[in-house]
Amino acid sequence: MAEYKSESISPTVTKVLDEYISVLYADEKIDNDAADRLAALLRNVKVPKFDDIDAALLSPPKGDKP
Amino acid sequence: MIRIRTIHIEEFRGIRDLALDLDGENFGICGPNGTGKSGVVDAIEFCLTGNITRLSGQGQGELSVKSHAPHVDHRENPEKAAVTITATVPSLGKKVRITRSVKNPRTATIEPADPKIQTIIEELQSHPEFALSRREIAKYIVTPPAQRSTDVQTLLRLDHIGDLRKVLVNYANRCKREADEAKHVRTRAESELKTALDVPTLDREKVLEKTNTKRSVLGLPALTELTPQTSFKEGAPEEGKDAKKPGVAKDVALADLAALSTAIHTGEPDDLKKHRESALASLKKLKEDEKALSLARAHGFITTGLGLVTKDACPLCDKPWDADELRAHLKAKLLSANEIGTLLEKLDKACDAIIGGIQARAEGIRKAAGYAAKLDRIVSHVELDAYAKDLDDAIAALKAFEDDHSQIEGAIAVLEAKWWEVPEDAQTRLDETEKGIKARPDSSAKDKAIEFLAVLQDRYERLHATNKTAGTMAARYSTAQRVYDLYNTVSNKVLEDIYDAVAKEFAGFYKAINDDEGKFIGELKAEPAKLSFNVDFYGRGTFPPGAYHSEGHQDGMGLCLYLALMKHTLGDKFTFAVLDDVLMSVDTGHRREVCRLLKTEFPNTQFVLTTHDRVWLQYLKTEGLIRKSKFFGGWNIDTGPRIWDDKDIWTEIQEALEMDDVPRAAAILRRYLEYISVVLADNLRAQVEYRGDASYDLGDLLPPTLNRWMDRLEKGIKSAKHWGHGDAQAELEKKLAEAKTLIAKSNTEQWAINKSVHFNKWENFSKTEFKEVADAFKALLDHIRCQNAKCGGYPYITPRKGASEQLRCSCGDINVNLKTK
Repeated sequence: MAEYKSESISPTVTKVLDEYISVLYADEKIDNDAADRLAALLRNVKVPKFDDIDAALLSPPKGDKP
Repeated sequence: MIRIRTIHIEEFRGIRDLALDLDGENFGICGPNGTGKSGVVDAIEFCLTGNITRLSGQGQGELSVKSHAPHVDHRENPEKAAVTITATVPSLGKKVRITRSVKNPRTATIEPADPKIQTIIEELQSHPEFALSRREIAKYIVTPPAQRSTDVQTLLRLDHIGDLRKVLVNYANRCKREADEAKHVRTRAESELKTALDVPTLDREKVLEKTNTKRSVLGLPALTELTPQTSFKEGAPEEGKDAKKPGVAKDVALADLAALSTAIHTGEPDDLKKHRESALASLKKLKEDEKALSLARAHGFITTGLGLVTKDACPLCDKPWDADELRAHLKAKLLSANEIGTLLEKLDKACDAIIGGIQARAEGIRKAAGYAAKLDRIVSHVELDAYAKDLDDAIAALKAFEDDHSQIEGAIAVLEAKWWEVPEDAQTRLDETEKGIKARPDSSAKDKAIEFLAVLQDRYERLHATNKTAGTMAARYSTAQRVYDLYNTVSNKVLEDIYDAVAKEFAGFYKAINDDEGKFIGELKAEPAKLSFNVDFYGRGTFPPGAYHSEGHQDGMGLCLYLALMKHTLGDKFTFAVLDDVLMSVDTGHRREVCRLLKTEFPNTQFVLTTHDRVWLQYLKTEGLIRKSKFFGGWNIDTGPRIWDDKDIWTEIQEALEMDDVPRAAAILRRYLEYISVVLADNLRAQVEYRGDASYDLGDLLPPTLNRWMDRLEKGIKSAKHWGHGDAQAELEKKLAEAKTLIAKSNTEQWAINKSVHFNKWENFSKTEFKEVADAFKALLDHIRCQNAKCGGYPYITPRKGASEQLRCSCGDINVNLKTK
């Protein structure tokens, strides 16, 4: 069976992410804005890098600040 | 997914020019080995994905699509090797034409250029598993658990889940390291403040008392509270106004140097010694087994290699090896992922502690260098700077190892060098610095107070800053760990649910094709880095499939697991699959059940099935799984496959009669009736006179089978009458009357008493006489089979053992209750 990198996220991965993100929102220790940013990052086909996750969890992306 | 209407293959693999019309339905390709069947499978896979597993899969290093997909005569003209598929996309209700040439295998021409269709084709590319070969089926069953985990996760497209888990755990680990480091820095800042205050512990009252003592010297009001904004030197004159050399608080400097001296004389702290010795031993172990670390990183690769050792040679380079010896060799080299993970975790922890110790020493040395620079008679601090630089380099080497565990050499060098021992020239400078500080005249009480308050302010503010950073980093680590833990919990739960559902589905399919295994269960269990697969063996427990089951059963399991995985992964989108010679490996006794399984459980999936067994092809047709097929009757390099239409039996007979070839028509009919009698006798559980050599001729089988047919109809009538189902009773009575008439017309009942109508005489019949016989059997068989055009299958009795309960066909249109209790 050949390996072929998909250009889209599989339904199973989507299912994991959907459940994960709803758990993140329900978690009192995780800020909802951070959960939003992390969700957007994880739904990307590319696996995020350290700095991407750091930015998502710790600060709003550039341009959000007044 | 799609359903294929037509395939046109040009100069591809062993095929020169071939067009197949599938019309969106299941399709069979039958032919002996080496006639080009798999070339069609390759062509389908290539057109839909741009790849050919047989040329790019495991162990195919020397082969490539570009070099070996074109017909051997067109290796230099890959543009001539092309495949075109026309298909329907059921979910969109649209038609599509896909053309791909070996010259540009990554690019397909898709018409119409509809983005939705494009997405469907991309989805197919991401699921090349729609094509399953006989060789691949085994990988689901007799594969090492670690490799199975990879294969199943690949099929379920779960690799992304693993990638995300990895990146989140790496993020959490790095946050932990940085939080620990910030904590160390804070601890050192606290220690420096305590040194300046000359107190063993930081106590609010004590700090205020020491501060106010100095402030009173300057006539300043006492401070009553301690806040992050507290200014100890508020109101004090500028620092060291009367001092000869400003900026050095003699008492504090001597305290700092004394603390450094104590640390130096203590040597290596006991706790760090333990960490260093254990880390050094582990690193040396890794270094001695130089390849272990890189092998561990390539864990999957080695595990695959282990699975491929099937003969006495290396599966990669073909170097002769005893298979058992090679396996043992690979296993000895292979540190398991768990072992490596635990080892590296311990190493990182030890390195973190050692880094903290070295950082404290470097800071102490830099502080001393600072004092040296501020003395009246400046003491050279070059040697101290050099020592501090060496300490920084040591820290960098350990951190480099933490970031990349292959950087062993640098880490070992640090742990072997005695970082806590001060170089002689640096120690001389330290002694000179201490002497210089001591030689400084004592400041006035006021200057001492001013200097003290300045140092106190500086160290207090630093403690607050480092405290804040440590808090931020701890919170960041806490979030990172939480995010990872939640991901782990959720993904494991989803995966467990998926594996449970797949295992349940698998067991259901397997039971359907082996109804002698009613209690059969299958278990898929995910464990770290592996996926265990165990199956029931006659109620004696669950074991790996290869433990006790026959190869035929294992292949059946492979097919069932594949189908369960595909159904789970694609759901309604599983509209297309190619099973390349897969059915051959299924036990003969379970072939019809496999056909029924495919037909009933996957009614919306178009199967393209290849087999080299004509009997199998006939089964596929008899069970109504396929209507259309092609027979590949030979192959040569210049023309490719020689293809014959696999005609309908009655058309073949008609054609023979049209050529006045009654003996040929008779032979065809007899061969077909022999085959169909076996099928019907088995389906209806006919009572046939037993023969030890299992050599039954038509006369042995057909009469008792037809008797059984009438008997079961009679049983159905009794049942309908018993339950008061008048309509069903009337219908069955009509069916029985029809059966009697048609059987009488076939003269089968008279074979035993009148040899002149026996099938052995058919070849001597006239054309007209034989046509009557053929028409009679056709009418009789049409009468027995399901009248639903989409089914057309022959009915069978369930269960296969014990009292008959039901006479049914696979679509359920024939559904006769045989129970009267």
